[in-house]
Amino acid sequence: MTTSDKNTAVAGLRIFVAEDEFPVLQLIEDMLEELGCYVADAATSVPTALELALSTDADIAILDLNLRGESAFPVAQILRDRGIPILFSTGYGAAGLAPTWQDCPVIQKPFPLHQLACAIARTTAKE
Amino acid sequence: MEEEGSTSLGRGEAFSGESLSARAAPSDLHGGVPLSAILLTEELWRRPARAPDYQSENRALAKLIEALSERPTTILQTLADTALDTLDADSAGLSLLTDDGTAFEWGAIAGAWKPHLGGGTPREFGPCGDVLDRKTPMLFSHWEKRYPYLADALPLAEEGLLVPFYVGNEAVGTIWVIAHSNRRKFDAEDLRQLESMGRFASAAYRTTKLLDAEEAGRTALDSMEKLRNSEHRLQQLLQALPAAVYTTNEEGRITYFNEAAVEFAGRRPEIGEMWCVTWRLFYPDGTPMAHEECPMAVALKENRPVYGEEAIAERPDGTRRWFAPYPTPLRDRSGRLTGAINMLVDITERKEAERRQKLLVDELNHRVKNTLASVQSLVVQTAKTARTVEEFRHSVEGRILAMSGAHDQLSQRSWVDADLGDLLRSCLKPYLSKGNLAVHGEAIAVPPRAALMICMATHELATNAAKYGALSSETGRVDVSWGVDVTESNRALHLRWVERGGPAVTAPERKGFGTRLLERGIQAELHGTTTINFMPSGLECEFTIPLNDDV
Repeated sequence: MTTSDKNTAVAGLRIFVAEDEFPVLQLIEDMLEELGCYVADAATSVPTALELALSTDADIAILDLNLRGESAFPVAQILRDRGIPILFSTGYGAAGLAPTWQDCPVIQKPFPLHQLACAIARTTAKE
Repeated sequence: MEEEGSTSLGRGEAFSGESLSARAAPSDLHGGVPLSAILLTEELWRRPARAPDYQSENRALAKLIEALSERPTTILQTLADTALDTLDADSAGLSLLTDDGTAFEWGAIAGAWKPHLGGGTPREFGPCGDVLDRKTPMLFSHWEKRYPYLADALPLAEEGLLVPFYVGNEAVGTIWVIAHSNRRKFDAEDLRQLESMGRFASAAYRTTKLLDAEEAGRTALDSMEKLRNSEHRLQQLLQALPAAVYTTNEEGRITYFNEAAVEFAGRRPEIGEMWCVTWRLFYPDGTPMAHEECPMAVALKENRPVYGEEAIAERPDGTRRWFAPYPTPLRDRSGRLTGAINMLVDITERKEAERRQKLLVDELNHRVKNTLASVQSLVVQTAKTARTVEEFRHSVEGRILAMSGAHDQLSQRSWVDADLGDLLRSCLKPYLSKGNLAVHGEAIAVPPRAALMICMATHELATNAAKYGALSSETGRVDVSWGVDVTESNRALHLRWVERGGPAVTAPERKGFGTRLLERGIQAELHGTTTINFMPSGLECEFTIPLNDDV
């Protein structure tokens, strides 16, 4: 099955994923594949994520807020400045976000496939 | 006490303003018995003269002088006793004008009138007043005729001889002797002696006043001394307290602070500064707090204790401390606000502990969520390749337990790191017991991420070996070994998995969870590399994992 066969609402989107837990990264990648999305770039640490954020051509980003103990907000700032919508994935919940980030969609781990699909749709809608 | 024939003319009766005006009054002055009707003063010179009795007089004065110097506080009574004796009277005493000048008080009495001690007469209407008005001695008889209130002063006075005495120009009282019967008729000599005693009475009076003043002064000094002592004790107590304590007056000006306050504030306040000992204040949310808004200021302005608040104090050197103030207003006995006392309890450590705990809870939450997401990932991906439920269950369980095993190893060393050998032996336990798997290498500590990944990876390798490779046959062997390469700037772990003597294996067509983990996982998580060679002799796998700080 190639992704072009998928007929989902979010099919074709290119996604930049930042996630430090490998099994979770795999899961997200698999889910994205199922939804017909491409993983444009993937990072597991803040330094890598910062680099990729500057160069990525992704349509949206799925960003874990805590990458190996470091805050990923600087990465979010770059993405926002570049106009790339962000979906925060977190174990903490939306309550932890500073006011300036309150309008970004948030998804809490662990999440099932359909929840990810909805969240991605919400993120792209915020263009 | 009631004796037959005598009444105690207590203070209340002749003295109190109300009864005076009720009795003494105006009605008597107008149409009452005139003064002349009770005066016998002329008699003093008409009665047979006696020669001056200097001896008697000197004896009396000697007694008085002795009393004055030895027992000065008793001088007035001694005076009354001496007058009684020397003049052979039935009663004798002293009348002293009260401070407000409205009455005379019988301050010392000897003889039959002794029970009336403390009684007296009004200044405006009585024998003593008459004497002071004219500044001359007078002899009275039955004065109760003109002054009815004296009818209660029993026994009645057949004759009463009064002599004024002064302090400077000021009339302060009279000295008197009384005869209660005809037995005694006072004469000029009695007068002379009484006047002599009157002069003495002036000196005595001045002395007693001085003594009283001295006593009062001493008492005042004593009290002040006691007060200073207790203040000193209080200050010592406050100094000894480990908490910062300071006081202000009712306006909020600092009046005292202990050393702990200096230390807390990081500065030495000035007496008179307003409201607070601290340099700068902030609300718990970090916004600045003006000193006049601080809990101490509120307590003073609203005259109530202000407990339960918390704030941040910044010292001149920039350091900050959390504290809880306990300002309490101080009031005098009538309830008027006189100032306030404040104790500042440093709660920085508690706040730190609270913050650390919150971080830990957040961290815990994060880890648990991540672990669950990882398990979710395991389950989902295992489901893709498992052909039966039994296989699925076995596979998932194995992976979860491998992960859990790694956690156990890490837990033993508080999640700082794990010993690689212990980790591998724990992870490969089921296979070790069979004797066809060997684990050896130098002791080395690996950080949590690496530990987890290595554990999962070797689990995969072992699972595959048990299904298709060296561990699936009697003759197969697996050798796990490792070493550390140290170059100038890098430490790298080389971990090798070598299978021998088992069935030939080939690369799988589809990349399952295991393969992806081995290839991508090591690279993504640990920035390491994996090489897998499907040799004819058996599978060989090598991981190269950098062991720098950020793994």
